[in-house]
Amino acid sequence: MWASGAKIEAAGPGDEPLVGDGVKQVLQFTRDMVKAGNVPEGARSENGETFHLQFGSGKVGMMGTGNFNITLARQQNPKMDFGIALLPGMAPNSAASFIGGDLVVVPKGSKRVDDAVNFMKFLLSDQVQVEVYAKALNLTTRTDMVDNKYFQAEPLVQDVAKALEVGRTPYTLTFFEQINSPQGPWLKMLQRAYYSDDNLDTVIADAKAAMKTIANQ
Amino acid sequence: MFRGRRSRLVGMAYLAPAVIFVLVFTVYPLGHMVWMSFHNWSLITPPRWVGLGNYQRALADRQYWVSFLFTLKYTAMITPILIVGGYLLALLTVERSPLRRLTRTTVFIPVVIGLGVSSLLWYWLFSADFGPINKALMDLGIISKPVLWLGVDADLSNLAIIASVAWKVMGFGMILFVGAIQAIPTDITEASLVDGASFWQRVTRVILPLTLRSVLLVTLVSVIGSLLAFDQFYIMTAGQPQNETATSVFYIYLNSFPYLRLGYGAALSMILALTILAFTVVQLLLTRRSHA
Repeated sequence: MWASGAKIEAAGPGDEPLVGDGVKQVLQFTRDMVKAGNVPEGARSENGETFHLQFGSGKVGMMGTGNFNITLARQQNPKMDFGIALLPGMAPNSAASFIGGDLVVVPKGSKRVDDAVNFMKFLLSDQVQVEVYAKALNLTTRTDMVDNKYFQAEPLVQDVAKALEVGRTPYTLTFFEQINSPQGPWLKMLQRAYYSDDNLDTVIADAKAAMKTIANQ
Repeated sequence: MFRGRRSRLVGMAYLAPAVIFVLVFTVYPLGHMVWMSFHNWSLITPPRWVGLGNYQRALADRQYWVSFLFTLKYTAMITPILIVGGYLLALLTVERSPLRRLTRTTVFIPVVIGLGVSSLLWYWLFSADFGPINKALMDLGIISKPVLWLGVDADLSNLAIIASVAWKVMGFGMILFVGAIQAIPTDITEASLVDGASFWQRVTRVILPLTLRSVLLVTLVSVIGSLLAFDQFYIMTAGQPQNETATSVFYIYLNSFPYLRLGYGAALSMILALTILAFTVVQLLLTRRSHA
């Protein structure tokens, strides 16, 4: 959706979520994939434990995941020849990526702001970026550290690093409740889009209303 | 008088470790939870007094009551299975023979593994694409294509989870029932044999009445455990489909931690705790009546 120019989460009170034609286009595309039988039936009950095993079946063209899966995919499928591509949008040559998972923040009211800032500088230092993050084949936070000896030895990670240029990090205090929550409106929207015949405009409108309510709390 | 006071002090000294343990790990956390329930607190901002606001919100929270009713339904379905199944297994294995001891041990082994591990195991067993259950059923010709056991149909998910929990937990009830049945004086069961009672007559007229307290105890433990169900639903269905298999504790967990609404989570916890207390009081009254 990002790659198709859409905006997803509501950043805060009064902000509008799920904006842009890309939202409906992507939902329609994925609904069509499900109806055409291009998604394994088991995906409906997938909780994340076994989804990476589908990749090894040889019937899956693309698996949406992060760089952490490169080593795992190779271990599980040693004979498989696979590469890396950025997550595409609806238009040709459009791509986007999700950057994040780990946050370093200074809470409001903190009495040790200077210490926190010093720690952030430490994390962003050349040595930590290369000798800790890159060495473990984790993406560096700094795009200027992408060209390092560890990534040079692993071409697939170099391809993943291109995601840093088109990647985004959601910015909202209620990200979990809006998007990640198993009881949240985002998952409900996707499930209705994929596995029901509900009108997509209604599906999106319902999700929008729920996400706005959460952001307005 | 000095000896009386001294022996009281000695008694208190012996009690002190247990009292301190209860104060630190039960009374203080409970009191803190009550305090939290009257505040809005996200951990990253200071707590703010809201009085009964969280409780009023809970009463109007549709999802909490959907989860609560589902939890009651799950409890009502699994408890008889655990009691009846555990009791039948106890009757089967109560004799003191090597084979029956081995059977008891085998049935009891799942009790000692964690519920999270058990849930992960059963998630894999029920997997539509990789699980052996579907493969076995298809090989036997019972089904023609894999069944989506988890996260698609709420009733089917509930049944699958009940099967997994029954496998794990039934041995606990069995062991308690075996102990209760073995504690029955042998002259009573011999007298019933002499009187010509059949096996089922002995079970219903002699064994069951004399082990009723254990039955009520196991029922209480099963009901409390089921009302607090979380791991199995979090791991196996994540509350799907559409939150229809999200239990009360699952909802409390989401509000307390990922949503950073500790005060509201505490209020929901208090409501659940009072519900469990009500069940416990009823249980104790029934136990007292059976003893009388």
